[in-house]
Amino acid sequence: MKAVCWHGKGDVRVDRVPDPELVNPRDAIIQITSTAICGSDLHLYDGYIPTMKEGDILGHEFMGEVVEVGSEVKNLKPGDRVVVPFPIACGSCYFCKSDLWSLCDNSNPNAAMAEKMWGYSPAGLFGYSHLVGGYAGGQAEYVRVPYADVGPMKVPDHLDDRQVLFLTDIFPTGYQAVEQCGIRPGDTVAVWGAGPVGLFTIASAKMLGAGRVIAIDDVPERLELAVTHCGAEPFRPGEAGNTMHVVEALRDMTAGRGPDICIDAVGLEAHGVGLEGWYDRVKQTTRAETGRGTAIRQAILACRKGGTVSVPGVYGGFVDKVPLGALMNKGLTLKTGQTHVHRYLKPLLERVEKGDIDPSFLITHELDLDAAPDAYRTFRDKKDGCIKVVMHPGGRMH
Amino acid sequence: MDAAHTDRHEMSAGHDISSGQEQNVGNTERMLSMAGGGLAMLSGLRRGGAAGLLLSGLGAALLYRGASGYCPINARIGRNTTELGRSRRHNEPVHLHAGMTIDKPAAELYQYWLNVENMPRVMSFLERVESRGGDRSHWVARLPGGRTVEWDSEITAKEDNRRIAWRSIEPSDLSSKGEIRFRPAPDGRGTEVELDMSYQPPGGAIGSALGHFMRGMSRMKVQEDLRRFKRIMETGEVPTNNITRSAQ
Repeated sequence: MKAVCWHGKGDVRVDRVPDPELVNPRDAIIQITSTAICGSDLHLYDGYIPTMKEGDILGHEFMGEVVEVGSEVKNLKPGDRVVVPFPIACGSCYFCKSDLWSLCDNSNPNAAMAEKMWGYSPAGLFGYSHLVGGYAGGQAEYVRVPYADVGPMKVPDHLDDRQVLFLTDIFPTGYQAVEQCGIRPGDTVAVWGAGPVGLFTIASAKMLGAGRVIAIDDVPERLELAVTHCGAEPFRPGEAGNTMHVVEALRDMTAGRGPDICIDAVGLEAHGVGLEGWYDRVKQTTRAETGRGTAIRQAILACRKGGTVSVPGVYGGFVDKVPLGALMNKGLTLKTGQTHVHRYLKPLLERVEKGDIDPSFLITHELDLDAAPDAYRTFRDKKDGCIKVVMHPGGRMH
Repeated sequence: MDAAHTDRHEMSAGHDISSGQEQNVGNTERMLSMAGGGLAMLSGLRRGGAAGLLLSGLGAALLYRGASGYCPINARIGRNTTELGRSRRHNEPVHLHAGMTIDKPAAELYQYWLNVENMPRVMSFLERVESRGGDRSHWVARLPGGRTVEWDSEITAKEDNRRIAWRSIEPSDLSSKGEIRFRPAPDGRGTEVELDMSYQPPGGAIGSALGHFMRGMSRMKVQEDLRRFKRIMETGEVPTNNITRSAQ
């Protein structure tokens, strides 16, 4: 089959690789009809996530048609149309049973490696480095899905791929980022990053009763979509200046209180300004720090006393100069985590069916799988108005 | 499905990428390496220029040595300052301990472990185990290079749903004993499982295939065996990232 493979920093190629097969009894094989490039795939593309190997198949946002199921998979049959959560979860460990699916105890074959880095291993993820399992991803014609009796959800025929594809990651990710803050009606929510996750975060904040949502980004077309489609107020950090300027501007926008909830939807490749930006760039390049921390620093400093900081943005290792003094003395709550996608599949599908949201609003590019190398570049460079790329292997989709 | 086959591939795949070298730097030395490496790297970065670059490079290498507990120079000259290294040098028995919380009732875990023929699925180095009736059994392990080592073992203690102990029977190529204990985890989270194994390295066998095998036994391998046990019990299978059955 054809698959999008990682070959090093800035180098992805469409390779011919063996078709996947059923390996374990709870596996299914899915023929992919739609697969997206995630902002977090760019962290792999830019070489910031360790333990990638040449030839690894990328992609963790995908859906398609079941073609084969293992002997233990009783809930699916060939022909079923399904979306697949990006975390792989066994469904029977303490964490899965506690609704904490992205912390599954059993799905990471390389758990020992993750334990060296993080103390304990979270769930395995599709196409996201060997640290979290080394699983082949879904930017391909077919994918092997482990624990298929637990993860994939059937989707109704009257919804097309564009409307349900993002249930696999970015919609639940944005939703969880807000929901886990215990949002109250009228709260002001500030969201760093108006990329795909940021946009779903903003839309979810509105859905969950936020009074005001402030979108923080310098990319014009993203900020515009946040305003026109999601009802956010725009804020351009580049115009404000350095971190202290950003904090002051947000204080002014909230009559001296600060946002109740601050959400970092940027992660480890934040663009800092001035001295802070250079500090992080040098340290990240020399591997003395594995993430650039501008977004998380600003979120902590800008948050009101007793407020909540939520981090859906991806971090891998270490970030310097995190203002723990502000976190502690202001009595902030910090909420983080890879998304427990399984928890949100049904409720968010219901919202799509009811018409609360049409998740396809942010798709700017629809391409064949062969276009992946160009699409990665365009998406990374934010050229051509690119906000979200969806690929249809073989040109087929529902 | 060929479960044992799958596991084996997993172990080796996990091995190269995690730089799976065994630790050979002791704890005190690791802390010193990290502290010194950090200082050298910072002052190298501050100084700049070629000398600064060299210093920061050296600092980074020391930092890595401390963080990973692996030193290539130690490996080259056969130096090992860990606990395990010390006991091996003196031909002392190697004691390995691991613990795991498994979300299943103790009775189920106890029954599975009592059936010795299940052990090759749990312990990656085993080729097969045959029950010889009663509490006796015959064990066959693979050595690197395709050779095997065999020994007989007997169960020395059985306490219902709480504890099983076993040891090898003389004369045997390999002198080992082990014990597994089960106790209820708090708050209905299943069972806390603890595994203790000890091996007596064969006298004068350093350099032989068996000596090599013994030295390969590490806490991490025991921990991984216990993790495989947990996964078989909780999910019925051992996770793998292979996409084909034949690629193994």
